[in-house]
Amino acid sequence: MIELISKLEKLSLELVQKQDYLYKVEVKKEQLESLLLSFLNEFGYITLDSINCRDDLEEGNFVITYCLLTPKRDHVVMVQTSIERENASLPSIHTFWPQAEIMEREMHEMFGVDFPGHPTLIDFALEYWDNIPPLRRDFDTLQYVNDMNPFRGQRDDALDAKVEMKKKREAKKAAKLKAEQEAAAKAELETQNNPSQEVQNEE
Amino acid sequence: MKNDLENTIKIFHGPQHPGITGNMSVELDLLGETIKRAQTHVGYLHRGFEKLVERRTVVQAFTIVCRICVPEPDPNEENFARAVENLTGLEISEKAKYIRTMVLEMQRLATMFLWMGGQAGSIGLGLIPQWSVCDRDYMLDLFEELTGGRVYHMYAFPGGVRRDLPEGFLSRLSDLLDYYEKRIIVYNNTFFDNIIFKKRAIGVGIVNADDVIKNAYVGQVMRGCGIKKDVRKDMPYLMYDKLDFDIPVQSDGDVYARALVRRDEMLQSIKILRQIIKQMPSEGDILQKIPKHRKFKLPADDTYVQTESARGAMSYYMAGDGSEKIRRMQVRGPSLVHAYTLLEKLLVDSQLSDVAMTMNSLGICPPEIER
Amino acid sequence: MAIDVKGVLSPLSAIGTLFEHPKTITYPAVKKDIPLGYRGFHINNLETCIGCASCEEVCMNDAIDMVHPDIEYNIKNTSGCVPRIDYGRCCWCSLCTDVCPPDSLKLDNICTHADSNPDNFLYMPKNHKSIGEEVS
Repeated sequence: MIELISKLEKLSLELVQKQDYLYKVEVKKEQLESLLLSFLNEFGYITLDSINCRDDLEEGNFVITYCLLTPKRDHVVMVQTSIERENASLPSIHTFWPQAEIMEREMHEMFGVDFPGHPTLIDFALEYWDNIPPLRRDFDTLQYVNDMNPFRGQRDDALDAKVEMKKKREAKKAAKLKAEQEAAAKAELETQNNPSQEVQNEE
Repeated sequence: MKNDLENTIKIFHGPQHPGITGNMSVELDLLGETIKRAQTHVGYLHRGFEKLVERRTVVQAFTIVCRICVPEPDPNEENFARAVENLTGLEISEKAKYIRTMVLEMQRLATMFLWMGGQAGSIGLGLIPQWSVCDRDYMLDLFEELTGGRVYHMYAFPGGVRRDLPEGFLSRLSDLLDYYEKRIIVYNNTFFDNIIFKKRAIGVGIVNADDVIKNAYVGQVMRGCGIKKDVRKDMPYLMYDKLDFDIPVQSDGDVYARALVRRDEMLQSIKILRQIIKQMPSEGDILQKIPKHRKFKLPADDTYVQTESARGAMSYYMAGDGSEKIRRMQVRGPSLVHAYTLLEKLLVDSQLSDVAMTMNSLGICPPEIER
Repeated sequence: MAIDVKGVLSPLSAIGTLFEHPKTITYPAVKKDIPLGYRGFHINNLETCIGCASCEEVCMNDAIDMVHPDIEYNIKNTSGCVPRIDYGRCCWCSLCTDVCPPDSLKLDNICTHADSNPDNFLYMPKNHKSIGEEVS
């Protein structure tokens, strides 16, 4: 591990320990391919476990994470880079790691990241998909479902509990007010009637 | 050679085929009975978990991850829970750790029994599936008691587990393990030593040990080639560093070697569970105090966790963004590489009747490929 | 090539199971005990339900609707509503029962429902108390 840190320092990169068995290094897009190759050929990280992509819509970029393992498989190094969201494109690494072919194909379909030189950028799970790539965060799943599928209408009698609470509170208040008014009116009535009653009692 | 390719017949093995391990298909170019080209197709089961998780809060998302793999939901729950714990810095108690380890090992046994049914059924031994699925059901009965569900447990929660052990649960588990130990001898006689299985499986689907490391093959595919690697030993999580167990390996790399590795792993699981029964603390919080679901926020950070499932290492990448929603959760199950890179290579020049057997021995689970 | 005698003979030991007691149960006559914590259908104690709609909020499948019950059971019910569950959408994750503040919504261990009309999958949880009375 110390060797790796010193080797990365030569490339002016910093290795951060995230968890017990997890390290992370961030690189620029231009350095990525050469760094991955030196991880493969020089540092001994010959296993590519996965390629992960995340969509940072607010910052306008995709964050791509390559997870690498040594043959000992006792820790993971995440090599992270961020690329522009518009016309996203990355160098394909399927020639070095055969399993990257399928991971890149998936990323192409789900995020629309282009891989020049990739042999099979065909459909992965979605056939004849003509919308924007579905895992981009500006694709609204709920909207899509509502557009594509009709809903059964028998749940229209559902009530909004907050509105109902308000209604009930107001009804309660009104009832209380009414009760108070009635009580006041009754009291007034009583005071009007009382003298006569007293007179009656005396009689 | 050109003549060969012209005379091929194209058939689709799956998605509606009893020998396929779920809703996927393999497109085969056949010359006689020999496969000349194989191409995997998925897309029959795309439910979009990774997208759905982004719309939910952490508490809501946890109920969906177990559906990513039907035969073994628990490694998914464990991965999800541990990723959230890594991000938020939640510490879980020792008892919760033991319970989670126990659930993972119980799940491993249940998955192995289901695998045994598939493996034997795919070569025409009809008796073994009936037995092994019955034996798996005894484990599901225990799950039902512990978690409230037979298949989808929704049990491991960020911060611990959702329920305490029922009274007398450990003794019932111990009884079941006694029963399983006896059963494995029976399966040895009728299945693993069976000459039909040996004749069909030895020398079929041989994986080259040199490819294994570079191509990130995991699980029994790796251990069947004699590479002694296991996430439970290499990057221990939960209580695995305090438990004593071996990693079984075989050197041949064929379907039979992988079957033997799985059988030995079942014995190791029983050994682990016996230790857990002995060491289980009687006191301890099962669930840490966690915020309400609208206030459970993930920091803007990312993490990567690995769990050894019954079919190999299963990894989750998870990133938060400071809000209560998960920015991104990516699943990398063992099937993705096995079903594409490995299966397409293994099937070339093998027989049509070996396709189902090879797929079963690789432990391919389509919902994990397309998520 | 030597014949694998063990491989030929040992599978025949399966014949012995013919004389064992069957492991299956005769279902309609004998029913399996469903344990207490099973996540089955919902039950709701309408006399303590406060109509707070926490269950509706936490449910990510939008399976829960708040509706007026036929008669008012609880005067302290803040909204006058009780939950109704769409069993076409429910996944029995039991988050609704976990968040219920008065602990009135629970899951029973009954789990059979068969109906030809899909509208009847809108399930009104049985009143807890009435179930207890039926049992006793």
